[in-house]
Amino acid sequence: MSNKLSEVINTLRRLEGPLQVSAGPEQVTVVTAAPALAQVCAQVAQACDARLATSVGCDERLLGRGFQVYFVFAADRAGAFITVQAELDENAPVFPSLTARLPAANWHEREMHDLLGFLPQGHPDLRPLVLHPGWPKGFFPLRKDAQLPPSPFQVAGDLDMPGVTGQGVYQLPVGPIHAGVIEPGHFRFFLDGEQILSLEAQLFYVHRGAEKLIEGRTPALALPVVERLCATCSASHAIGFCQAVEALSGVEIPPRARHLRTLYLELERLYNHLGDMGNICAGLSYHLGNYLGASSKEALVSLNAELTGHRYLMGVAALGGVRADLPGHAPERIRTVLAQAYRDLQELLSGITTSPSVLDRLENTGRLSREVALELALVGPAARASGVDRDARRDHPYLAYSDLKLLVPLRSAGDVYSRLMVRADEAQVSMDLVNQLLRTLPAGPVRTDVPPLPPRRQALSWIESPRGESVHWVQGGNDGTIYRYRLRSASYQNWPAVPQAVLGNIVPDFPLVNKSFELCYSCTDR
Amino acid sequence: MAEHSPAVVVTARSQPTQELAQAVNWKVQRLFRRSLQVRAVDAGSCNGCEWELVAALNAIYDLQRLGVDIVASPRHADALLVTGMVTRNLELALLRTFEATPHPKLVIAVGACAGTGCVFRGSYAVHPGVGEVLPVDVYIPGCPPTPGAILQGLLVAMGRLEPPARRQEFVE
Amino acid sequence: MQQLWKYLRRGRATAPALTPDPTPSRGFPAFRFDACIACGRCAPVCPTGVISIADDAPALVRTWSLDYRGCVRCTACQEVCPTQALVPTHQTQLAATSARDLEGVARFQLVRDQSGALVPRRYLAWRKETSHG
Repeated sequence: MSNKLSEVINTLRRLEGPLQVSAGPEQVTVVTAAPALAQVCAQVAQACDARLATSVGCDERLLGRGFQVYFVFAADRAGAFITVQAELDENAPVFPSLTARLPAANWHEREMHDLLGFLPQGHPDLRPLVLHPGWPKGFFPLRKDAQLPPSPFQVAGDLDMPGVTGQGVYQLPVGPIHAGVIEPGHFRFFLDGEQILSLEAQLFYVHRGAEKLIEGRTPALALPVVERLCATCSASHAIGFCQAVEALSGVEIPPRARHLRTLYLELERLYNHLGDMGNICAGLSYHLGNYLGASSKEALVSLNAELTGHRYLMGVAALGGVRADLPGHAPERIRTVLAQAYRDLQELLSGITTSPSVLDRLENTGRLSREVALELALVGPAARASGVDRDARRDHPYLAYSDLKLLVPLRSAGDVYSRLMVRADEAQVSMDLVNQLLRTLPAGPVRTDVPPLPPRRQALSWIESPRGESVHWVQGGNDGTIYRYRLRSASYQNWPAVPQAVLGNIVPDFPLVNKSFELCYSCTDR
Repeated sequence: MAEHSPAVVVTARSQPTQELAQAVNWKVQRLFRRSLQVRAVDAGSCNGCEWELVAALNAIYDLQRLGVDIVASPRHADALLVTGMVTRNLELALLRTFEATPHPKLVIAVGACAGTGCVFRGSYAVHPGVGEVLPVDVYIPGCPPTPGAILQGLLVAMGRLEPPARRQEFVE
Repeated sequence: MQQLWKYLRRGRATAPALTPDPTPSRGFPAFRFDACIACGRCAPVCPTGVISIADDAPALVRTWSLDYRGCVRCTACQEVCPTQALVPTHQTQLAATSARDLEGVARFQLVRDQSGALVPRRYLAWRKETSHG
C-alpha cells in the first residue's frame, strides 16, 4: 500500500503547473491556483488512473480563508484519495470547468453554481440543477451570509429542456408525481414512435437543504439528520458520517463495534438487494418473483427490527461505535433468517433463469457500455455490471473488511440482466460475509468517547452502500461544530447513467431500466 | 400559499361550524367506510415511508383486504396519502395533485416529516409539515411508521377504528 | 402445478389485521408525569425539536410539551432522563385525527432557589435528595 502511495506522490510531484503536494495516510492533497484547476485535475486523473470521487465547494470566509473548491479523486489501484484544492477570488468566484475533460464533474459543477454561486467557466450546460427555476435570484444557500427573502415565494420549477427535434419526434412528460409509490422526479422522453431518442431528467424535487441544516450543529445532533437523508441507505450514511467525524477527531473505535458496524452494513445490503430484485420482477410483471423478493425483504427488515429496534436500521450507529450491543440470541436468529433468505434467493433465480419470457425482457435491455461507465465514474452494482471492477470495500478497506475474505462479483454485458445478477451474486457474498463476521465477532465494549471536533480541519470517509460507494466530507468549525458537510451518495454519481442506458430502448422498458439501477432520489437530492 | 377550497372541514373554529364539520366528517367516513382509494404523494420524504407503504401492500400485511387500494391517479382517489415535509420544489406539484382529487377527499399525513418536518424542520428548502400547505385529516406518526401503523391509520381514516391517542395533560 | 402445491404448503403468510406488528420495533416514549422533575434535559437533545420547554416567570409555571407527530423514536430523550420519566415502549400505532390528540402537555411549578434563580420545585427537591443520598 505505502509503496503504491509513494508512487502516486512521486507521479504528482512530476506534474507540471503551479501546485504543492502534501501527503497524509491514504490521502494526498494538491494545492493549486484557480486558473490551473481544470488542467491539474485532468493531469491527476490521467497520471494516477483516478476517478472523480467527490467535490466540495466551501465558503471558508469565517475561517479566514475565502472561497475554496476541493475536487477529490480516488486512485483505486493505489488505494489512495487525492484532493485537488484551489482558492477562488472572493469577488469573482470563477474557475475553469472540468466537465469537458471529465464528464463526471457535470453535476458537481452545476451544484456549486446553484448553491454557492461559483462559476465553472466553459461548462456546457449551466441550467439550474438543485434549485429549480423560481427560487429568488442571488440566493446561494451554502454561502455563510445567505438570507432567504422575507416575502413568501413559490417555486414554479419548469426547466427548459432542449432535447431533440425533428419530423415525427414527440415528447412524453412524466412526473414529478408518478403513478406508483415511488419518489418524485420529472422525466421528459423524446420519442420516435416507441423508441427513446433522448431522455432528460429533472431531479432534486426532494432537496431538503440538509447540508446547510447540519452546519453549526454538533456531530451528535447532526447524526439523526444524516440518517434520515435516505431510509434504505441509512446505516451506510450514518456509519460513513461517524467514520468521517472519528477520522477528524482521531478516534479508534473498539474492535467489536467495528465488526458490528460491518454486520449492519451487510444486513442493509442484503435487504436492499433482495428487495430490489423483487422490484425488478415487479417491473416485468413477474409476480412470483416480486412476491419472493418482497417476502424475503420483509423477513430481513423484521430481523433488523428484532436486532436493533428499527426496521431500516436507523439509530444503530453512534459516534465512537454503535448504540447498543446485539441481543444474546442474535447469531442464531441471523443464521436462521439468512438460511431462509438464501433458499428464497435460489428459488427466485431459478424462476428467472428458466423462464424465457422473463429473460427476454431482461437481456439486452438498458445496455450501458464499459466506456460510458468509466467516463461517468460510476460506482456500485451499476459499474460492476458493466465490467468496471470497483468496490470500496476491497479497494479502500475500512472497518472489518480487511480481515474478511471478500469476492467482488463482476458482469460485463451492462444490461438489466447483468445488474440483476450482480445483485444476486453480491447478496450471496453478503450472506457469506455475515457468517464470517458472526464467527469472528470479538468481545468487548461497543462504544468509546469522541472528543469535540478539532477546528478548521476536514476529513473524508468512504463507504460501499448497497448502491455503491458514498463519500462523506466533514469540516470542523471554530467551536466544535460542523462547518461544512457534503455527502456524495452513490445514487448522485450514478443518475447521469440512466438517460444513457435507456437510449434506443422503448418507453415500456424505462421502469425496468430505472429499477435495475435502483437509485434513491432522496440521497441524491439531500 | 395558493388559494384552494377546503376539503373536509376539519379546522373550523366556531361552535355551529364545528358541529357541521363533524356531521360532514361522519358522512364522509360512512362513504369511505368499506372502500378507500388512496393516492400516495411523496412531498419530500426519505423514501422510508414509501417503502413501508409498499411493505403494507405485501403478502404479510396485505392492505388490500381492508378495502384500501393505491391508485395511479389523483382523479381516482378518495384520499391523498402525503409523505414528506413538503419541499419548496414540490409544493406546487402537491397543490396541483390536491386540486385534481375530487371532493370529498381526505388528506392523510404519513410520517414525522409530514407531521412537523421531522429533523429537517427549519431548513431553507422545506415547509414544517403538510399541515402548512393542506388541511390534514389524519396524522400517522412514526419515522417511518411501521406497516402496522399505516394499516391502523388507514382504518382510523375510514372511521372503522377509534384513534387510540388522546391528548395527555398534567398540572402539578 | 408442482410449484403451486409448494407455495400452498408454505401456509398463510399474512399477519392477522389489527394486531401490533409481528416483530415489534422501538416505540414512542411514554410519559410518567409523576416521575418527571422538569429538569429540561430532554428538550435540547431532541433532534426534531418536538419536545419544548417554556417558562412563564410571572406565573411561576414551566410548560413542557411533546408533539408525537414529529417524534422519530430515537430514544435520545430517554437516555438523558435522570428519573426515567420517559419510558421506552413498543407502541408504534398512534394515528389520530387531530394534532391536539398527539400532544402531551405538563405544567410544573417554579420556585426560587437560594441564589434567586427560578427552578422547578420538583427539580429542587430531587437535587436535595440526590446530594444527600
